[in-house]
Amino acid sequence: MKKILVADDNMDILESTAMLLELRDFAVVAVGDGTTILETVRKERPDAILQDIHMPGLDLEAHLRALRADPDVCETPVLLFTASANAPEEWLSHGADGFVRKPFDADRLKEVLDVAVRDGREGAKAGAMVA
Amino acid sequence: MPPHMGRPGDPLSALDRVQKDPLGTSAPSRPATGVDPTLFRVLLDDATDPVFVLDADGVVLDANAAALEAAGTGRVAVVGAPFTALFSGADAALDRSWADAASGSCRVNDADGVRTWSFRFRGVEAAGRTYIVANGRDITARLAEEEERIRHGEDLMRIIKMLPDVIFICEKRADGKIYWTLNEGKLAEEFGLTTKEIEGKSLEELFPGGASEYIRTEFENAFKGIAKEFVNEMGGRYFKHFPQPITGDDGKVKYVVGFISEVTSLVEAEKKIQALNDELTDRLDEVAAANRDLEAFTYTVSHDLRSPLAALDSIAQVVNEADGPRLDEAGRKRIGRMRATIATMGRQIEDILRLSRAGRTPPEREETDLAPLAQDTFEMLKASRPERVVAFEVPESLPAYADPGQMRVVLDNLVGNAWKFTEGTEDARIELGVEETDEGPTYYVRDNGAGFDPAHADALFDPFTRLHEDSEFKGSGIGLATVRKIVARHGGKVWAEGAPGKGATIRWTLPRPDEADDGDPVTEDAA
Repeated sequence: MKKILVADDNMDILESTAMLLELRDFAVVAVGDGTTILETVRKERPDAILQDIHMPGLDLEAHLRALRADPDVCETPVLLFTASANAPEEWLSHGADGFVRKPFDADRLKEVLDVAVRDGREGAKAGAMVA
Repeated sequence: MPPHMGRPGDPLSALDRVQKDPLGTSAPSRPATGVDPTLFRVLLDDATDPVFVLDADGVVLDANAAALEAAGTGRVAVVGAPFTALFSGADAALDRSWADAASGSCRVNDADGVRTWSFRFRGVEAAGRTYIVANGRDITARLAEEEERIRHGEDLMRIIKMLPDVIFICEKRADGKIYWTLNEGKLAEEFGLTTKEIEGKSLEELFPGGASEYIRTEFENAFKGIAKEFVNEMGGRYFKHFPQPITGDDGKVKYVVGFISEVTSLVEAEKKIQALNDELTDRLDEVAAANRDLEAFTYTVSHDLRSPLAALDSIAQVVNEADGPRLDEAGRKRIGRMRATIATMGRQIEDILRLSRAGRTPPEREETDLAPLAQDTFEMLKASRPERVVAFEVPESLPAYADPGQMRVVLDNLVGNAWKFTEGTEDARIELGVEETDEGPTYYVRDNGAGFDPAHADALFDPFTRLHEDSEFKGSGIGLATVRKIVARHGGKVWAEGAPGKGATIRWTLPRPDEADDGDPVTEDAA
C-alpha cells in the first residue's frame, strides 16, 4: 500500500482528504502541524507529500530546501494544496513538483497521486494542477 | 547744341523767339539754330499738358492747344486775360504776389469745377523781360484716387475703432523702447489707451511696475521675430495678444502688428471646467476607493470563502463514499462538521455586512464607558479558550462620547485582534487606556503579540487586507476596516503602530461633545 503524507492546518480538509485517500487504498499520514512535516517524512518515508501552502509556523521555502537536501527523502514528490485560482509558480523552483487546487475531485486526485507514486517527482510534475 | 539755345533739354529756352512772335503766326525768321521756331510751336501744341506763358503780372501772353482746351475757350479770349480769370480757385491759390508765385505752384479747377489742374510756375528772364511759364497737369483722376484712398483709410479706422478688440502697431525706436503707433478698438477706448492717448509713451511708461515685465518679454520676443500668443491679466480681466512681427527688406523686424482680444469669459469658463474637472477627479477617486473595496470583496469571496467551501466539498465526498445511503452516528457527526463549516461562511458574511453597516449608520453618541465593554469582550474570548493565559489591563473607567453599540463592535474587533495575535506569545498581555493629546482623548489597545510590518500600517485598515495568512490567524480582514469606518463616523481617526514580533498598538480618537460632528462618510476611506 502506497503511503501519502497529507498536511493541512484546516482539520476539516485534513481529515476528509485522509479519508478519501484511505477509501482509495492509500495509507495516509495526516499532519496538522506544519512544523512537524519534515520530521514525519523522515520517520514515515511517504511515497508522496500533499501539503497546504500556508501552514502556521511553516517556512515553506526553507522546508522544501531542507527536504531536497536530505538524501534519504529528497526524491519524495511534493504536491501543494492551493485555494488560489493562480498557482504560485515560484514554488516549483523552490522544490515543489505540482499543485492540487482546492476543492478537488477525489478520483482525479487519486490519478495524480498514482502517477506521482509510480514515477516519482517527474510523475508529480506531469500531473500538476488538479482541476 | 549751340550755347544760345540755353540749357539742354529745356524746351522753354526758346521763349525769346516765342515772345517776338507771341501768336506764332508770322513767318519764321531765319533760324539761329538748325531748328525752325515753328517747330517749337508745333511741339507745344502737340503737348498733352497745358502751357501758358504769362507776363510778370500774370496776364496770358501765349498758350498752347492743351492750355486753350483747359481754359475752355479760344485763343482770342485767353491771350490778354489774367491767368486767375481763366480758372476757378486760382485767386485763392495765388493769394501771394506773382513774384512769389513765379517759383511756386497752384491747384485750380476749370470753370465748371469738373477737372482739377495743378500748375507749376517758373520765372524766366529773356531779352530783359520777365516771363512766367505756367506748366499744368490734369490731376483730376489722381485727386479722385487720393480721396478714395483717404476715405478708405478713414472707413477702416472707423471700423477698427468699432471693434470690440484692439488692433495695434508698435515699433522699436532708437532708444530701444517699444512705442505704439496705433492702438484702436473699443477696449483701447475703455482703458484710455487709444493711439492719441498713448502717443509717445513707451511700453514701460504705459505699464509701469513688474506687471510690464511679462508683456515686455513677449513683445521683445515678437521683435526678435517670434510670433507667440500670450494672455495677460489686468484688473481681474484677461486679454489675449496676437502679435505678428513684420520684417523690412533688411530682414529685421520693423514693427509688430496684431490684435488683442478679451478672453475673460473663456478663462473663467476654463477655470470652471478645471473646477468641475477637479471635482470629477475627486468623485472618481471616491469611485475608485469604492471599487477597491468591491475588488477586495470579490477577492475575499473567491479566495477566503473558497477554503471552507473546499472543506465542505471534501466532507460531502466523505459522507457520500464512507457512509453510503445509511447515516449512523459518525455520519451525523460529519453532517455536524459541514454545518460548522457553513457557520464559518456565515460569520464571514456577517463581518462583511457589519462593515457595510458601519459605513451607513450614523452614530448615536452619548457618554459611554469603554472599560466594561472591553471587559465583556475579553470575558467572552476567555470563555472560548479557557486554557489561554492572557493578562488583561484596563482602567476602571474609560469615558468616551460615542455610540455604545458601535463602540462594542470596535472593542470586539480590537480586543479580538489582540487576543488573536497574542496566540502563542509568552506572557501575552493586552492593555487598554486613554491619553490626552492635542487631538483630544486618544484611546489605545496594545498587545505584545505577532505585530506587523509598519510599512503596512495604513493598509491594515483597508477592507479585506490580511497581513497574516489565514492559517496563522483566522480572520476576514475587515475588522479594522469596520473600526475605521465607525471611528470616522464619530469624527475621529484611527491608526496603528507596531513591528513584527513586537506587538501592535491601535490608537483612535473620539472628539468630545463640543467638537464632535457627524463625521465625514465621503472622506473616511481616504483616512
